[in-house]
Amino acid sequence: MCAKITPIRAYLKYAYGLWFVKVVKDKGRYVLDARGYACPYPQIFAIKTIKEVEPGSIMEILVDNPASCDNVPAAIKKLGHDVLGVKDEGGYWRIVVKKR
Amino acid sequence: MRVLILLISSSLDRLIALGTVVLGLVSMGHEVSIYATQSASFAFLKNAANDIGDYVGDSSLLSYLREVKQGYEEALAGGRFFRWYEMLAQARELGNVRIYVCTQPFELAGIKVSGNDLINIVDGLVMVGKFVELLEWADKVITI
Repeated sequence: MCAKITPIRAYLKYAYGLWFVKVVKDKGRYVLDARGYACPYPQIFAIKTIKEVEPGSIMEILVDNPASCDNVPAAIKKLGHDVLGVKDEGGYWRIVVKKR
Repeated sequence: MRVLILLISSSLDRLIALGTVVLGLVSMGHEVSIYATQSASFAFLKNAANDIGDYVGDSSLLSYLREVKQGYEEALAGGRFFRWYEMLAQARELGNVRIYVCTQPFELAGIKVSGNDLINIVDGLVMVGKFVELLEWADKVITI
């Protein structure tokens, strides 16, 4: 399966360098890979990205920290969006959300 | 919600906690003001911010603390985590964060400091009156 890389406001420049979120658009869904990042970054990246995508978009957030499975959905819901599910992929989790 | 954080410590563990809490708050739409005083004031000096490295805890936890410090440095090197002041800079990009540094510790140390000596995320070099003003502004206060 090939994924077309579609940067979404790929970076924000700030005083000390760049920080950026890599998001891939694959078959109409945005996929944000937050694996390997410690708190608070899975939540931060998820919130940052969902603000950038179009309303109605489906986004998948990949995390490898069990606590993120509660933290990220809670943050997304609190911002008014929908959490469609959290799937155990064996070694990591796929959180599926939809932007309202 | 308006949150005032009174920062007194300059140890790495507490500065990472500061960065994490501030990022969490602004990502959820809250406003944050930080008032740094005592040893925390010195952490914001340009010639000190990058050297903060003591991850402090009880002596019975030394082996764990060493692992945290090592993991943190590896994550920094791999771009999977950020320095405490970078976390604050990121938070400023995301939302309303103001950072004030108290002059008292510098005065007690006999060191003349101006805004130019501080890292550029600092909004002002201030005294206790600013703290009181921030206290009146805040809905919640956290001490780190």
